[in-house]
Amino acid sequence: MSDVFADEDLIRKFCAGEAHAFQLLYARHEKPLYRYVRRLLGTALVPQADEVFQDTWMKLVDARDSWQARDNASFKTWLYTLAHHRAIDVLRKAGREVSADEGWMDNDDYAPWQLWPAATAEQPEQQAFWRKAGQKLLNCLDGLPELQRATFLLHHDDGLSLDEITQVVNAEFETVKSRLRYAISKLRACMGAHLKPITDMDSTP
Amino acid sequence: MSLRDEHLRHALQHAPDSELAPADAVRKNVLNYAAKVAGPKPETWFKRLINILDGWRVTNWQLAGMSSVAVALLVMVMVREQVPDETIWQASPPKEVAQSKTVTPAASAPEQDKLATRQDEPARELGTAAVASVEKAPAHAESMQAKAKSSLATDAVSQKKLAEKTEIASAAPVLADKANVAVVEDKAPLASAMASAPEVGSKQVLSKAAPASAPAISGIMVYVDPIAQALAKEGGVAMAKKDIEAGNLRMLKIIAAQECTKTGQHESGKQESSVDVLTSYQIAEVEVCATDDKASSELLHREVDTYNQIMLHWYQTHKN
Repeated sequence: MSDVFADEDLIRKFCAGEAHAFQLLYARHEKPLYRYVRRLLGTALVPQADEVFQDTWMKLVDARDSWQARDNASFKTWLYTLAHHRAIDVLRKAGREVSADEGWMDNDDYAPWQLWPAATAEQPEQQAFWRKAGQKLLNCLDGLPELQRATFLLHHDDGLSLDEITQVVNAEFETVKSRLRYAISKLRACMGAHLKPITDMDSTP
Repeated sequence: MSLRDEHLRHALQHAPDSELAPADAVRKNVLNYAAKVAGPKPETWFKRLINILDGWRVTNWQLAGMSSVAVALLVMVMVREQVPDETIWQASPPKEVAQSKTVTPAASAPEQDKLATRQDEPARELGTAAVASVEKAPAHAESMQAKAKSSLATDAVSQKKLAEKTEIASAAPVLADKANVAVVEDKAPLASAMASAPEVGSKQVLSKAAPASAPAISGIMVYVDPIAQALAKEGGVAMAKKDIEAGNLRMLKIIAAQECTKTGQHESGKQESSVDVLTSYQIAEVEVCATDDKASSELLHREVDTYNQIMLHWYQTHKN
């Protein structure tokens, strides 16, 4: 039933007093939003992920009427905007901001991931590889500046478009685009330096 | 360079934290908070009514039946308020031909006494300024005045005094000047008013046909036109019934005469006859002169209203 209604329909129902609509909304966005908050905060601030996550939803509940006044507003964009700003506040308070956007050389020629298994492969050994790659990626994300990290996560994990990301992080389109490019380049380099291609893994005794 | 790296995306999807969820306590807090805040808003009375009706679960047939009953009640109330009270018909006097009775100057004292006694009771009850003028019975007039302070006058001199006491001063002087013998044996207030008016007084109009329900007046109108005369004689009910029987269907309307003299003569302000919008009956205008006597004016209006109500009722019951 929850898939029948769009997010916007559910939030309208919730604004009209239907608590059940909120339960559907929450169930739909619980894990993705929690992942975003947790990854944006980084490994060091994981303990605060629950607090940020809870604050985000409660703020959304309190501000539900203000959402109604926004024309053509995507609920998902609004939800992630709230979470993003709350997480950035925590990061700034914790002094964990990484603002060095410069000094990274993009090198498309350096592409060790090109030897990795296909992203669609679901073999057991390949799953193990990707799981290890995922863990490594989380470590690499910790090294990114917060806005590059947010841009990358919103685009790759949560499927937001660049336009939507501009609303969430409150930045210009070109800024978002360049930050995303920086993030991808850094992550590729980071991942390639630590992960061997699967062919190497296969040859490892 | 693509802005979405499938390898990185795939690695992200398989990260160890990809299936993590917030603590149960967090989930519970959020959902409870939302449920508490999104509680039912205070309902308006209209929404409550809708909910109650909805809870009854009446069928369409039941709903139609209730609606019909409600409409019928509404129509009954509306019709009932339009139809004149039936008691008007019942209270109306039988068709009596106005009986004129002239008391000659030679009328004997016992007869005068009997007349005064007969007239005394209704005159007091109605508070009518019934006036009797007997030129040649001054002595007996004194006793009549004592018995019937309200209205009976015996001669021109005592008439003046009596009129002052019975608040008909406006009529008394005229009557005294005329010195015509006119005994008005009329319970209809307008008829008595006419009797005291100059023109009428000279004709010795005596009318007995007074509607029992017609209220009395304590004053006298200086002038009334023929329709008003008829209203005064017969009352609105009797006149309406008579007109209906004669097929003279019309509505009455009181208008003010353009100019009235002290003697009641007036400049006619009647215009061409108009037609009542509802009934299509012709409207007959009843001219009256302005008078300070509110009671007389109200009485005439009441008689005209009664007449019109009966005509309207006749129209409603016979229009098809």
